[in-house]
Amino acid sequence: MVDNRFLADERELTEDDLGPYLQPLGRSLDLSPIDERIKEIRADDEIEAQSSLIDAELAPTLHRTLDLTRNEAADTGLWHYLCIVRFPEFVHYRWDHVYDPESPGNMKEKFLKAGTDAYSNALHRIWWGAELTYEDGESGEVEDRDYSRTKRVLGFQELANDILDHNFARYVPVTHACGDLLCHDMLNDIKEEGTYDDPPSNSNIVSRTTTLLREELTVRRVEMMEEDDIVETIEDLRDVVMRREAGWS
Amino acid sequence: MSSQWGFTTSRPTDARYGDDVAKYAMSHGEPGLKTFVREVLQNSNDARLDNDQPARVTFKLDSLQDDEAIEYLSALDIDNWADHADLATDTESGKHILEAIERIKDDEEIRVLTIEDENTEGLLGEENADESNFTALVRDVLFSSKSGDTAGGSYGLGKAVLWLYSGLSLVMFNSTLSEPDPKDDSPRLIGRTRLPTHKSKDGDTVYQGHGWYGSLNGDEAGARPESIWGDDADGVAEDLQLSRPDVPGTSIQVVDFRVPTAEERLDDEELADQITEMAIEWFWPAVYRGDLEVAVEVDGETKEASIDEYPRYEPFTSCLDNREDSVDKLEERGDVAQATISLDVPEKTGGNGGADGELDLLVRRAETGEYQHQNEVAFVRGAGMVVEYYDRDRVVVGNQDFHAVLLGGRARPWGTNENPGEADTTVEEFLTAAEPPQHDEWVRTETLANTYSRGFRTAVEGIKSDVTQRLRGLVAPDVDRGATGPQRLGNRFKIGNESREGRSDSESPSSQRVTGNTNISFDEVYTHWSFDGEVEPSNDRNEIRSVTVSLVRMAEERATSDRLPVQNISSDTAGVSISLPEENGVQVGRLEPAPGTSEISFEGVSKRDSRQVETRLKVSVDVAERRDD
Repeated sequence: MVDNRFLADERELTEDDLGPYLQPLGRSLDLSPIDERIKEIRADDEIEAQSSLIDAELAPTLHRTLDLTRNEAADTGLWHYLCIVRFPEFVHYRWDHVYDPESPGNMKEKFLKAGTDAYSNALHRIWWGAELTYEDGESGEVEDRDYSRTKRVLGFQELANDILDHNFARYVPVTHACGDLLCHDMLNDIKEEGTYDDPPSNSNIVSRTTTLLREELTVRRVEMMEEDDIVETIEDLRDVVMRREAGWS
Repeated sequence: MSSQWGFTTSRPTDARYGDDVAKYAMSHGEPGLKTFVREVLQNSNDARLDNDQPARVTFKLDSLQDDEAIEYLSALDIDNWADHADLATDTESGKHILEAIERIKDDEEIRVLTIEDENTEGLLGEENADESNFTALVRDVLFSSKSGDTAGGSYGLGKAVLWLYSGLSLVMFNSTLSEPDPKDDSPRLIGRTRLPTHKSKDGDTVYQGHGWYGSLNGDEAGARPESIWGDDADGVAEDLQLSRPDVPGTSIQVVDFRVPTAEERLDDEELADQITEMAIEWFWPAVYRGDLEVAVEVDGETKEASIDEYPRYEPFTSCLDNREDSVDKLEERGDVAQATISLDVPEKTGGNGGADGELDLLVRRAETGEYQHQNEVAFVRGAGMVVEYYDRDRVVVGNQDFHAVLLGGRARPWGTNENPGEADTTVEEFLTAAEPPQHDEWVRTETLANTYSRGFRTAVEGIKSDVTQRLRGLVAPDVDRGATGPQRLGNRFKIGNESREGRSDSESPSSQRVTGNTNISFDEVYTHWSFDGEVEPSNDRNEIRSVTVSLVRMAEERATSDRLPVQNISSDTAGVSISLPEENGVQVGRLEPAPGTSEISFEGVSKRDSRQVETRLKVSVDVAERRDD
């Protein structure tokens, strides 16, 4: 059903079309805050279509509104429904540039993938990006959550890719440390201090540091590391990268 | 006659010991209960008498309290011992001993583990013999006198676990000898403690740290207490709850038994369960063959370690049960197939020995639900202990699940009516020499290097890759069984049984045009990676034009594009030109052989690697049709 005509936005799939395949979630969620927020983002002159800023701006509302357990969020059908039936225009607005009729796979996964692949389906990736980076407020209430790290990560495409597309992201202390230590604000501050003569671009720093981290994790079990140790490890690797001693290849 | 502690003195200029060297060596690696159970059972298994009866080992766990504990400690002459322990507290291990003493006082309880074996040799040998069971187990450090070159233990290091697992570093022995002693009657009782080197209160006398519990003959200064024998020994043994049945064997009592790395003290029941399970996990071959019986006794109740109790090891014994009915192809669940792995044992340094040996691999297709130890190969030789479970999960994508046993040395013919031959004995010796002190793998060891001439390394390191290759042949999914698609396509892409052995004909995809082996390992001494390998074309009509060796960094999920530079590379093959060109800015090794070269071997090292993260060897080979010149 999800064919090239659908991917090219030439036809829609409705709840009636998919009727036989739909299953109730078991509770009802009011999705209108997401509709509202998408409208606001599209109206914002400073946010261009297809920009990663869209993910960053939508993430807090999407995550608060879809207050799912991780178990529920692992159900691929839920995300297929949301992308194909409920928010297809959003998927097109964010991702139309990846559609290639010759190899439609990239676009298809924005509608269809999900489950254990945290970083493909257009909405699923935003939800997981938020889930792995937000901080609970004192009250523990949904409204009180702090999504500033989420916005820093999802607003920096390289950082979002390099964190969320890898296994270590499943362990929240690492996601948090990477989000804090490798975001634009932090890297720009370090560069301003002038410690490094010729530091690489922020994207390069993120890509190299996370690669070195993944190499490091072939011999260390991340779940056994203390949070301080995680922070120190990432800082050390970042330092090596900023000094350009990391063996570029 | 009184029994008491005595400590060996040494001169102030002699070496001092903060702790026992052997104990220290054994504490590295895996000082959980596994090391203890393996070593203790191996000792008894090796000392089994040469008859039809099994060696029987009973672990008896006792927690002594109140008056019972006081009487026990007084029989142990603990005050005299404690005077010395108190002087030895300025070292790390001395402090631990002090902590143990405090704990015993606070809890008013002492846990004692007695390991009683029967139908074994006992502590044979004179008090000061050069080489005997007695001196090896009780007296010496790093000497082993185990019969022949093929006993399970061959370092004399394993016994150090006894002291390692005693909070007080104190172990008592009571033994009934299998051969009558010329002078004295069994049993023979002696105790041994290993404290750090310490000085007397006045500072005048230095005690080396080794203490002995026994009878002191005469007043000679510095003489050590010796074994107590016969009725006297019986009397002391009773006070120490160390009496034993009047059959050959040894009772070993570990005073204040503890697992050095355990976070919490396990209760007796849990401990008993773990001991029986580990006995089966590591000694099911000896138990299955009726050479070894193991039991644990807690609160007067005895629990036998039986394979029935731990059915997860039955798939392995089934390999032996069904060996005579083995099949060529593993078609049904429960089917057993066998394969032979050749092991060319090189000559010994003196020129004798050496054999074209073989190991037998038995592979059994797993039944539904047999998940534990699935896809593992138990490595076993004649000692009847599992040296290692070699995990071969997904040896081929989509492989049939299996359990396998690799039988080497005198174990090779097990499950058949055959007896081990001369070559099997040679292999047994070789494999024994290939076991490190923990006896938990077959690798290049110093003993191997000192005993065998060139070729030992290839022989021992080739075992695992040969096992893998044979497994691939047996458990690969049978893609030919279903519909195979149009015949024409089938001819172009030869997939399936023909290429299962890793060898295939000239029409196979280029990735299968060569075969060979590669190894890479990290060298802690030089902090670099050492690698070696050999490659040859699968087809005689082809020759190798060039080989490029690069070192690939791995990441959590997959390989990265990072490379570690190759420092140097060399080749034994004649006429090979060697270079170290850069590929994408990183040095790689390149070998370009003379025309007509079909096989090429190489070895080399990486640049120094301070990061030491997982690194693999990538070997790219250009193959072309053989040039006629």
